[in-house]
Amino acid sequence: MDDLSKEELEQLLGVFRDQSLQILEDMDQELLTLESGGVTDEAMARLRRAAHTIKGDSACIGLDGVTEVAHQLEDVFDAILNRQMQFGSGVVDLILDSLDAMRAAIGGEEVDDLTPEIAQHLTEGIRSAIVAEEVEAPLLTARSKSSVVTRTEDDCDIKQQDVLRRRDYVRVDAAKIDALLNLAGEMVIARSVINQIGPRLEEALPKSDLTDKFGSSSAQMGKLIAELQKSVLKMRMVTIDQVFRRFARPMRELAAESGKQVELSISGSETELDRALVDLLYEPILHLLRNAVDHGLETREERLALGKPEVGRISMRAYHEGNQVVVEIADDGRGINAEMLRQKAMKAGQISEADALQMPEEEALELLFLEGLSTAKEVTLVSGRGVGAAAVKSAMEHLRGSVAVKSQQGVGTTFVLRMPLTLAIIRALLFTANGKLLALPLLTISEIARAQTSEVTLLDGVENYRLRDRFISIVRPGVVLGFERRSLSSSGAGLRAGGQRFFIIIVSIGNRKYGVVADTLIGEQELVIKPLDSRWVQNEAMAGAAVLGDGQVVLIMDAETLLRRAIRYERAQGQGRVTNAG
Amino acid sequence: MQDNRRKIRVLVVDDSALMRKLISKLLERDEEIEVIATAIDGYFALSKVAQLKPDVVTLDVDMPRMDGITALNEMVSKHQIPVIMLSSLTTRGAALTMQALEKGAVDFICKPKSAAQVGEMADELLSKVKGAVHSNVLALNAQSADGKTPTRKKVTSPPPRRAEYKIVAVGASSGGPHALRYLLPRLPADLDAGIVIVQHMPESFTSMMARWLDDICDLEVREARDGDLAIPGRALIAPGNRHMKVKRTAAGCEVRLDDGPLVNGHRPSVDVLFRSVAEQFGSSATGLIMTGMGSDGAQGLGDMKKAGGLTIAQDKESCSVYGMPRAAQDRGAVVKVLALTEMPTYVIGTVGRMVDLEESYAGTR
Repeated sequence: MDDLSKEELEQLLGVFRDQSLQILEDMDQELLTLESGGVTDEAMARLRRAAHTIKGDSACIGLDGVTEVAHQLEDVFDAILNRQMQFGSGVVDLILDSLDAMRAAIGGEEVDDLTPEIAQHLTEGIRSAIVAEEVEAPLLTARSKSSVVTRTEDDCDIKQQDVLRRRDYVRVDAAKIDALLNLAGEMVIARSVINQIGPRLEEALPKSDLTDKFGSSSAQMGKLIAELQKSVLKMRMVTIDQVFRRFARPMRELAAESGKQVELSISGSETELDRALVDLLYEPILHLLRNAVDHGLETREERLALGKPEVGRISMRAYHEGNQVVVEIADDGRGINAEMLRQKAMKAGQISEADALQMPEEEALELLFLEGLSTAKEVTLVSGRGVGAAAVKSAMEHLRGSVAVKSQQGVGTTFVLRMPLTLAIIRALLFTANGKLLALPLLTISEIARAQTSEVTLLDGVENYRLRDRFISIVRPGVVLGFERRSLSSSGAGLRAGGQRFFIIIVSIGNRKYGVVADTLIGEQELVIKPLDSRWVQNEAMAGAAVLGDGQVVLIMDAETLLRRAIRYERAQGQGRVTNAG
Repeated sequence: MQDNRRKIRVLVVDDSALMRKLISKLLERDEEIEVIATAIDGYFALSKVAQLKPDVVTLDVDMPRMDGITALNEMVSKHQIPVIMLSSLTTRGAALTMQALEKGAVDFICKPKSAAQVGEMADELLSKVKGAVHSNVLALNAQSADGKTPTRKKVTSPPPRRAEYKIVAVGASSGGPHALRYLLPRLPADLDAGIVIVQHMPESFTSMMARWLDDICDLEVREARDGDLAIPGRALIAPGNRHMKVKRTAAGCEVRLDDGPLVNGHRPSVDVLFRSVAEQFGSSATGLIMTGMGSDGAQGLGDMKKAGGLTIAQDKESCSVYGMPRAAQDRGAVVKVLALTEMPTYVIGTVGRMVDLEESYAGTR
């Protein structure tokens, strides 16, 4: 077998150099992030893969020194992943040194191997670190290169300089922060009890110095506790840059794959969000970017013919809105054909013809997220678009977030991902149903209606409530959670006989609404979510539980699951099948 | 070879840009092959498979996002496209590769560990891609998914004290894992012979394959250690990077491992095993030369035939690569040519079962 020609080798070296430098840069970033935040398995696995890729590639090129060092790095990350080794400052320095050395060798004028001496020095250092299984130092200094402006004595000569900034970090176990957060949450609850006592105290006791003092100091305490909670939450926060920046390489490859020219613009990368969200957000965003490149953007020729700029634009934007983090992914491509979606959904039997005709444009776009629709076989505009849309939706639901889509044909498509700032605390509406204390995330609630049993109508065996111009299905938490035995229809009859008044909490998810029946409303409150042990509780309609200040346990319901459980498809008013149960 | 006029259309899937380029370049040097597309991960691969319907896919086992195994599943079950896995020489790579073979991958290739191995990989790549075109993916899939569960009664009987030990020696290369996965589960634990196997495979892979086979066999299958006995009910697989020979001792058929030089470019080599079998066991040996590239084993099988042993070669139709069996036939080393599906019954019929096994068991109880 003859070897590769010189020309071929040159070409391969170029590819190798570009890819490796990018990977080394990513690894650098990843390591620095790990140093300031906590170590996650996902990040370690990414590092291991990165080292693995460099190892394999450099072996083919014949850079034995780089291969050997990359191999050692792969082993280190593997050892850390397998808990055979701690991720400590000593190792980090060794790793960073190795990355620097590889970068210098590969990124020079010509791609070069590490000298045997350096390679040996590095591999031995790393190997002994693995063997020594060293204990991490509690305080470490992170290396962080940054460009800062320094002022000289006479205060006029300003120059930029690359300096090694020393920042002090205390490495803290993430679990400790979570414990602190829990405590802060408990304090919030305890405060709410005091808040309730306040007014009653004022009623019971004559106004005096004492009651005034109680009032002011409890208000002060409230403020401090809120601050405390915020500070602890901040400890868990990282900037979304950590997610965004990971897309640079995949995007370049995606663009190359599809042969399209793409410009990715990123804004709001300083937006902070819960650390736990970082890894969970990567996949959904990647899905959307992939679809944008693959199916959203037209080919170069098509764009030119349409008079659009040759280079396709994709933008990622993050910002805070209320208690939510919002990420928008927009392209200026061909947009989604809602009509085709309707047709497809009809053919797939997901909606009836009548529904399809009635369905407004915005709802038709939501069809994109239907499971069955997205797996259509032929790669067409719409089906291709659908690849993974259902997966994105379920990933976002998993984060207690949502995904929505806006699109205009010929102009572009925007996906809007929303998720809570933190996964640890939610603002919830407390209410009782069948005497049980329950809560729903406030973010999902759009309004609350007072209803009478006579206003409940049976449509196709599903209880419906008329909210202004449309019927919405209603859900009885008792039935879903299994402590109310009565079937829907008989319970409807029971209610009718009683003629009671009750509340219907209107929950809206995406573009759909449904109602949840409640006996009494208690109020809104911040709840620290405690996960339910799946060994004991197997009801996916519950997102978790929380303990109130007085020790009462409140179950937090999962709004998405409720929707799926109880709704077929809501129908617009005035359709033939409506039968008034009254 | 008329049907080969049209080029073989290959899709290359790898998350490393360099690997995609390198593999494409190596493949395209052959006039019969055309790389129609590349993909950076499983998702892309699947959509391209659906779109372009390639003849063969080369698939990196270990990729981010959708990994090779997940993608493979769909390629095999939905599109019935032959897939060749590209694996790294690591334990992790070996485990994933075994999993892939089970899921219906036609074969696998190890990525080069040094620049010197690139040429070697190129040869392997070309012949495996060409071999893969004609492989029956559905059959592979059905074969591995036929749901046969072993009776789980491993024979741990002491070696029978008899003068005549019988031995079955097997040599295989490309396509071998699948062939072994068909053959071994169909041999009974009371087959009246120990089994020794050389399958060309790198180090970390052989133990993984032994475990993989052991899980579905009535026989005990394991990677051979120096000094192990090849007793009836047991199949010993030569570890990667070591030669295996047999030796007749008082205890029975003992295997010896050594680090001798490569033979026919291989270690373990089938020739090394077969020659020692011919020398030590003569007419009480059965030799099976199975699917694989090259000619390793042909000479050794000839020696076995000369020494009076029964020599069998896998037929062309059932081979994924008809190289080693053909070489053996060309040398006149073969007594009987059999399809893979005929082998189990034939071997059981000629070697026989240990008739006294049940009696001796009854006696000890």
